[in-house]
Amino acid sequence: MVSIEQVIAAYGPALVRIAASYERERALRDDLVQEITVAIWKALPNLQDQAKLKPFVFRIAHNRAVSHVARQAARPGQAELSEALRDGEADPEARLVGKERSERLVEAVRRLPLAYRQVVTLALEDLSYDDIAEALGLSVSNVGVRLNRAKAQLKAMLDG
Amino acid sequence: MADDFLDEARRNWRAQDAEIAGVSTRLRRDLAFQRLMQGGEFVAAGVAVAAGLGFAWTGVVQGDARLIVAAAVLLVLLPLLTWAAWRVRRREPRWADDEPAGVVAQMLAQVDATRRLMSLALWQAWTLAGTVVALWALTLFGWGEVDAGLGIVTAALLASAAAAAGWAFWRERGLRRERACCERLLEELRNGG
Repeated sequence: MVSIEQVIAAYGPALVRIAASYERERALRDDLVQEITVAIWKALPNLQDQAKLKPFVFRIAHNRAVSHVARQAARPGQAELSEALRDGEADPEARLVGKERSERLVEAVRRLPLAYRQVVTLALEDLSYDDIAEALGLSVSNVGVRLNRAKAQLKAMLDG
Repeated sequence: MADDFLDEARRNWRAQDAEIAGVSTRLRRDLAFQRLMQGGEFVAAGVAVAAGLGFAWTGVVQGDARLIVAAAVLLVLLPLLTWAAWRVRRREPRWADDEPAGVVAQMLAQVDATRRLMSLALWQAWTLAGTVVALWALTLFGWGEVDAGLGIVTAALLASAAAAAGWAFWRERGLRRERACCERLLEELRNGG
């Protein structure tokens, strides 16, 4: 059976990037990574097919991240992440470092609607259409449609 | 098929800082803490039951109705709340089995279950306040004497009741916000953006 240490070694950086697409603040992002790894640790004994580890790990990551967004909304003074980002409330510090291409891309990904953000982050992590469909419970054709729309929105944001 | 935009985006995506040092260590620490907290809850419930049985026995032996009332509160309320909290935690979404929309739907159900638990906490607060009234009534009708012990016990019960009620009201506000957020996320996921 795959151990949690092996999962962290293989997918740890990808999990951090997925978490960053939901959570801009460093401390909260680290908390989210932790919540994701705990959820993976709990779910690992139920993994039937080792070949499906990648979509299994990313499905848990996105599921845990979505629940994190909802729970954050319950805290006083916390605006919902996607809503705040769509309103263009990037903090000044983020705007300054946002000149870097990588930062600009991450910021643009965060501003995508949730359904597109999930598909595009998995595509950026090199998952095949089949694996993305498996991870998000979508049809392969739906993955293609969402990815194309996500790319169009990303291009518009990065060019704009 | 080559996709220049996606290829460049992948390079930029992976260029972000994704430090994972300490993740494993923190994971082990968090898991140990979770087990400790869960174990602590059941130990506290066990202690409350033991203390309740002790009060009940002493109350029967000494013929003190106030001790019997205090024992009844300890024997009924704390194990009930521990059980309810344990049930709510068991409702954690199945992270590996559902798609994101399914997880949000489960979260909605969990929020509703937690709101019911909050009603239980309010009920607990009223019960504690009622216990104070009952203890004083029993004392005034001659079942015991007004002493410092009665004052301390009833003050502690009232403080617990106020804390439980305050916590339940505060949590309820957060749960309402969480529910509204879940509904928005669900709509966003089901409508495909």
